[in-house]
Amino acid sequence: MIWIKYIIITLLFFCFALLQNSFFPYFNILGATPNLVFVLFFILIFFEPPAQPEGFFTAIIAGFFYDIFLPSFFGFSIIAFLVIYFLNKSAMHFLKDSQEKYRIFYFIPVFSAGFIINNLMLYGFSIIFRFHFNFSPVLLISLLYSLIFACASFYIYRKFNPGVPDNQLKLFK
Amino acid sequence: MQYHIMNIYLKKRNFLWQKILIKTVALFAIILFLNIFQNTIRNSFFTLSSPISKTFLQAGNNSSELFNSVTAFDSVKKENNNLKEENEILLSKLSLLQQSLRDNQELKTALENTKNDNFNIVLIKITGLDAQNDIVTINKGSDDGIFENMPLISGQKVLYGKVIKVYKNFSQVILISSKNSTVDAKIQNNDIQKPQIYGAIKGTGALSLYLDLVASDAEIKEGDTLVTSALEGTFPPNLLIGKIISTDKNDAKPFQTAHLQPLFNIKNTDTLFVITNYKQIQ
Repeated sequence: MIWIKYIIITLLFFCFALLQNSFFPYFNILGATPNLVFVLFFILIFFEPPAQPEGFFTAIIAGFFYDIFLPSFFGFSIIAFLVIYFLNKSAMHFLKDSQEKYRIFYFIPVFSAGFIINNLMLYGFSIIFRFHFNFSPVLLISLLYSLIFACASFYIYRKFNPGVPDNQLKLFK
Repeated sequence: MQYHIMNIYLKKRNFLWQKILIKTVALFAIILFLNIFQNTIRNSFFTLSSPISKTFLQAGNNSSELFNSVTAFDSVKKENNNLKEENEILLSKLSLLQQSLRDNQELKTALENTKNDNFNIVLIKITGLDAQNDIVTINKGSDDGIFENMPLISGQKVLYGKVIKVYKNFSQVILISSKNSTVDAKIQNNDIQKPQIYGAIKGTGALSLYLDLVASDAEIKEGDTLVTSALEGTFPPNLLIGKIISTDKNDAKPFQTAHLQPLFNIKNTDTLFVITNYKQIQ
């Protein structure tokens, strides 16, 4: 029944991509809208069970739905998301089982770093392959806007998935 | 014993490398496939998602209006009175008009406004708005005669932007408010005795514009209307762009600038027109 999970993930990305490009432009702050595709992608890889890694599939689907709205070739977002997936996986190395309540303090900086790296990579691709990508301070507002949704999604995911791995920063041990 | 452990370690390492290799090949195959069929894939996606996108757009528009009315307490009472009056007028109009009639009316207006220009225009609907990058998606593509660089205007000859990417049944349009957009413009001037004042309209993102490269001795003032000058050859002349809301003149600078109120209203528009024969006229 694992395929049902993949279908649900794909449909979620589809809905989030459409919401991001159709609904939220009406709620933009100085032109910034939340990056819901990235939020969903990051939540999924952050809570990925170590026994069943699905980051490869998640990155491809998320990248596909991100790339489809970019006026350029497919693949740039897929590569950027894969890089973020592997960076996040490497960062997980520094986690150890510990107190549950501090986990959000780890999530916020890692999410922010991932968001910035993703946009930096896309900006780099846009310079090399000459397509339109707006890289400006507005992205910082977009990051803060996305963080609101990311934190909400963080707690929602935890509420409905109480069995998620409970890793913590060594710092808080 | 040590040999046995070493053997297991080597087997594990080989398996890991095999896995990485398979995933890398799969990734490149997927990206290659997506790019070979990118036009078909994008076209199918936009065709499939168009009804849902439209619903989300409508919902977003309604919700944002509701949200704005809740947050703007000061002006709510005044606005409410105006809205009541407007509502009465609109209700009588709305009951009479259906979607097709509205489209016909729009087309008629556009044809009337452009009859002296010999433009061929194609009626389009907006199906998506990326406010962050000032890009809109429209429901017409190469099948409808749309090509890159074609101008997008309203029925009242207000310039919105130009087509940057064309698919079979959909296209993407970059708005003039994009940071990557520059349009040659002039001040609308009915007095033929006065010299023409030229400048460049630049986008600042977030659906806003400013006027730049106006000669420091030119007389520009609040309320002046900017139209296209057609010097760069992409847009026809005399398409409406915006009105000056404030000027910024500094004797130390060779040019003066001005902040503009754009005349386009992308959030409250769903029917626009693409000029398909401007290059041919030229």
